[in-house]
Amino acid sequence: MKSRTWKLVVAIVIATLLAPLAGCATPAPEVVEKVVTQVIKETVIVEGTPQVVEKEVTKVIEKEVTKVVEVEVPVEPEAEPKVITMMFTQEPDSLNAIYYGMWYAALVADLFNPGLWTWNDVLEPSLEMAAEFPTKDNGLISEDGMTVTIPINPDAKWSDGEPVTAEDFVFTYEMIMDPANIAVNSTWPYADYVENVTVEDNSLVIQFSDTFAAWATTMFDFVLPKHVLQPVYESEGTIDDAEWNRDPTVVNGAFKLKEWEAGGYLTLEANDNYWRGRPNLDQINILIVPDSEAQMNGIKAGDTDIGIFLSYSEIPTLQALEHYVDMQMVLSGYNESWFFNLNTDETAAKNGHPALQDVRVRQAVAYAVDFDAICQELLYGETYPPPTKWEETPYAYPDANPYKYDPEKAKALLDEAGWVDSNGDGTRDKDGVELVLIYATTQGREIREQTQVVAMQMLAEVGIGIEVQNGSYDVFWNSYGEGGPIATGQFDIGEWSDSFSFPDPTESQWLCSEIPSDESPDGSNWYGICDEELDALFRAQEVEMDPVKRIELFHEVSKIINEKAYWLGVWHDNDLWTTSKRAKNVRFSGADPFWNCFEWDVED
Amino acid sequence: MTRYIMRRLLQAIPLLVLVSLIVFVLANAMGDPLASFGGRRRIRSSDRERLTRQLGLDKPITVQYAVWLIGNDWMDIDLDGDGIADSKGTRQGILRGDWGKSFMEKRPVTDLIRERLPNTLLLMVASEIVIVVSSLVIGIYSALKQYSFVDHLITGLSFVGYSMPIFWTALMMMYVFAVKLKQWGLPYFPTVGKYDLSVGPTLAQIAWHMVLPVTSISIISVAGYTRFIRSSMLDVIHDDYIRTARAKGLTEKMVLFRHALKNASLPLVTIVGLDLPLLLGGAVVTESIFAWPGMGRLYWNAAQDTDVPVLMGILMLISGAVVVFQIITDITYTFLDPRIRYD
Amino acid sequence: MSAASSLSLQDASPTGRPPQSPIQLAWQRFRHHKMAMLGVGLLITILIYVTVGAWIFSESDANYNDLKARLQSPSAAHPFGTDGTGRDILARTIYGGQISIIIGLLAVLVSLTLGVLIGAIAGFYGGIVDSILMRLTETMFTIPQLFLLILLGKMLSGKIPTFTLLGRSFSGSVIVIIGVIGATSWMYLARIVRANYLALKEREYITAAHCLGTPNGYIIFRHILPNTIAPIVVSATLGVASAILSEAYISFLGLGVQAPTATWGNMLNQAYHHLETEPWMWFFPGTFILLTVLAINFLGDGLRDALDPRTVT
Repeated sequence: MKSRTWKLVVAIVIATLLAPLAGCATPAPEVVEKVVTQVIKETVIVEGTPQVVEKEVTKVIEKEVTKVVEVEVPVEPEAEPKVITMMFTQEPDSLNAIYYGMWYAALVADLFNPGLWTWNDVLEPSLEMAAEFPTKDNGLISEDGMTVTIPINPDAKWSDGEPVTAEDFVFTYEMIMDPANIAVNSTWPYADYVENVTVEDNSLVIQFSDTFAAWATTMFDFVLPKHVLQPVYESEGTIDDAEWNRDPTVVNGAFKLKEWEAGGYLTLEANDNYWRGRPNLDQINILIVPDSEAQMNGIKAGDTDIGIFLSYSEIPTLQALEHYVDMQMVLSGYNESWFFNLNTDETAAKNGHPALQDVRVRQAVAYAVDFDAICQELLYGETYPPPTKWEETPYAYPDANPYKYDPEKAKALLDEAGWVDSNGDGTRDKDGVELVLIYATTQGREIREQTQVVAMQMLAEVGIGIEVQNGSYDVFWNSYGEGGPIATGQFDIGEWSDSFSFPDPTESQWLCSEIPSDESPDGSNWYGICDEELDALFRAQEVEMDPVKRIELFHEVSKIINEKAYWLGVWHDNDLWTTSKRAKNVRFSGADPFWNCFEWDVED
Repeated sequence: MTRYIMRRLLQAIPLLVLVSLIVFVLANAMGDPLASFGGRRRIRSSDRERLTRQLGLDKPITVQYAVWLIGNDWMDIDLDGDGIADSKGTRQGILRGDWGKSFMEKRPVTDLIRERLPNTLLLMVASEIVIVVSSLVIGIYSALKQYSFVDHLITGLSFVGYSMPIFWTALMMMYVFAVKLKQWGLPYFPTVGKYDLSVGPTLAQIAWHMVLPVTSISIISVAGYTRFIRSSMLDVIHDDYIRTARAKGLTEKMVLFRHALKNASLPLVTIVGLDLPLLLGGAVVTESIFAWPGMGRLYWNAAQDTDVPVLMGILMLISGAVVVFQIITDITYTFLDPRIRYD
Repeated sequence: MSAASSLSLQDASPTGRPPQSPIQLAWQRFRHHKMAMLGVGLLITILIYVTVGAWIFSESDANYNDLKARLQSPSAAHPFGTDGTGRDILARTIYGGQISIIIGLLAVLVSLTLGVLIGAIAGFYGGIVDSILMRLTETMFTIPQLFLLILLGKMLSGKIPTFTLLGRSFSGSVIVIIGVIGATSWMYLARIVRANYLALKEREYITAAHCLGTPNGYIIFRHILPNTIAPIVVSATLGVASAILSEAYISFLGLGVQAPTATWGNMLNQAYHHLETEPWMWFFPGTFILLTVLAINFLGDGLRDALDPRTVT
């Protein structure tokens, strides 16, 4: 060996010998009393929307302080890049938020394209591009609630160094509304509620045409780079075909796209220009693995760090793996629901079974099925039947009737409603009509199919016959114009997982005006419910800007829905996520799952 | 010969038109393309109406087919919903080379196919080679040693292989050779994907990842082909001219390869010729289970989402390939059997 | 061929034994085919299992959900274990077997009818009729079967209500599956039948029949068809195996027979998330599918050897 190499070897040996000495030089610890003032953030609902408030708390702690001796620590060899791998069962369709429709696309966007703020795991806003969260208190929401001013974070930058400004947001708004962008997925709520969007001293000012209580959770949750896309728009007249949609070269999030092999995988690398500084991780790999069993195999083999949206039937397997996988159940507003078809208009094809018009029959159905047992046995006790749709949020009516399993009461209610088995064939009837209900849901989810057969058996025990008519997902959700089974009322009990506009409680499917017909085929009130009281309450909450009053309105709403048994909760459908033991600081949110990706870390 | 080819190609045109028509009607009747648009939430009514109009789905099916065929840039369409047709269409139709854009990904269908096709070809051509070589070897051996124990064993095994559902075979292979082997600390195969992201798309990586899917696909076909070749060889071996060749003193090898094989392989050429174009559709289930980014999955996703342009693109590709390969097969016959001639 | 068999007839008489008809010869060849006999034995066993089993277990036994007893491994109470909602797998394999086999048989009936009709008419009449029918056949051939299966499965599932037959209720999707499999597997047979008809219609006895004024329908079905029976029988037999596998495949993709009716295929589908943890859920229906398909393949192989005089035994 050459003399230089020898010297290097000797140097390394000496350095290795010296390193432990640094540890030996630790002096004895001292005990020090310290008074520490901590600032904690609390969510308080103050006029406007949930708001983050800082409070000061003084604590006295005893801390052991060790004096650290400055030792020349040899330069460590370059550390292994910190990588987290995850598997998606579907590939994103686009990476531009105005175009993508798939949930997985929104997931990836959490990593590279946050908007004004994200909603964290306790559903508080976590500021990203915004400097402050607007409330009536800090004056950023006008008195009449029609103008909102949002100052933009002065540190926010794009990955090429350009600052993120309010102009970018105005540009985003313009692109959404521009009819030349044909492939835009949705113009809601901008087209419906926004009058104007302008810039004022690097603050974004939104002028509403109508009070819109849900604005903070549905608007500007992403932003497009004006300096990159404006030239494209000017030269091509549209940004539908911009390369940025598939290859976002300039981003404002913690990570930027490194590579995307269609059908195979995406890799993202750390963005040094992220306003909070470079994230802990160096790289995130996303593999596209369409088969859920193959994904489970990946989790078992340790090939994936994050398991996404897993089926509850995997819970026993995951529990057996608890030494290297952690499960997280995340509130997302979804509940597996039963809806009754209450259509009664002249078009007979749409009408539900006449028995369902009687609230006693609906309540009997609720009492006849042991939803608790279903949750206990089929879902391993990991969830429970929710009495209202707004379960786990302040909007749920606290005294709702859970309709606990009581087959005797069900039979009594049915008898009282006049449905008895007069011809001895096992199912009840009245006026010559057999009480046989069509039970429809989508194919392909094991738990749903299991629930179906179990519910069928329980309903048969009280004399209600069931006919199963399931369809594959896109056939099931075919529109009214295309004769879709739900849209055209060809069901009596419909089961699917439903949510409101999480995290905002609003929904429009209960309104009389939303009942689909030939004139307005796109209505979403497929159950034909036209309850005046309910209608009035929903319309009131839409414009109610006072959060306390809004909660009261929803209590009324959920009370009515519960008492009249318009809706039954089958199970509270929280999302099931897993993380491997080596992934650290991963906290999922039901609204923006990857909101804290900048904090993620790995420990091998 | 050239005239024959031209004639066959001309005959194929009405066939392709018929296929495209039937598939188009069926694909559109299959489901609602917009149902999958909203992601987890269902699409809003105002947007549904706009998207229906922009994708041209509000037109009657005959018009939609015509647009797919010859495009709509020669007519005016109503883009902004005001009832006045004032914008020019942007599509040119497949006859002019525009295969349309995927509903889901809003990208040209040709891009999607171009990205996935090489992966599928890789898998399927490798499988086909494994299948043909293995079944030739096993089939010929089995035929020569007819009624021996080995023959019976091979026949039995091939029946079993032939009777297994593909998804079961694929899942079992992954379960045993990828998950279990790793758990037992033995050298193991990878579970999913084309290659390890940390290593990159090297030849070794891709080959390693191909082992399990290729084996799963091959098992069933090898079983079927082996039976076929065996009976085909048996037919030929007992023919008079083989007896003559042996009587003349030719070595067994010459007899086999020069005389028997050529004639026994005629039916094999038929089958391979029929199978090859279907390879383009990929093995839907295998590709899903092994997460191989190929045409099969593109196909299955498009079927699930009722992504009509992609479905039409893939099916026309396959149909075109079927036609071409049938012609190639027929021509190959003339080389293998001089008695066959076309005018 | 006919010359060869007539020679053997004459050969037979000098020894004093009565000449054997072609059917008897075929039967003899069949009996000597070991695998075929094994297949027959296996099939009979399975058929006994699904019929006698139905006397021992009632259909409600097969569909009875007992949530407390779910996912139990084989035991005295449940010899094959229980599935995800506590139903007894032994009883389900019996009733599921009935449905799977019925689907197989009826689907073949559909494809047989279609294939023979189309092949016969195309082959017999020739000309324009032949061209059109053959183009149709080629079109169906070109469209991959999987695509048609998915398509038709999606379009038709959930549309046909449950119906009762012989005191038992069947899900309407059974009819759908039968139709779908039948409508996508007739093409191969149509080709073969057509080829045979093309050849046979030139025979002298057919010309004679024409001269006698026999109506065409009679000629097609009474004269030519019996002579082309061999490939039809073989194709039908193997078609049952293929139909059972297709049913399993469609069920795996989620488009098969709907709850609560059991079939071997949808039992496999229900075991999908339990491959490692509850292997009895897929082992039993999977094995039944394997054995049945195997047996049918053996049988079909034997039939092919027996009915086709050219094959060396």
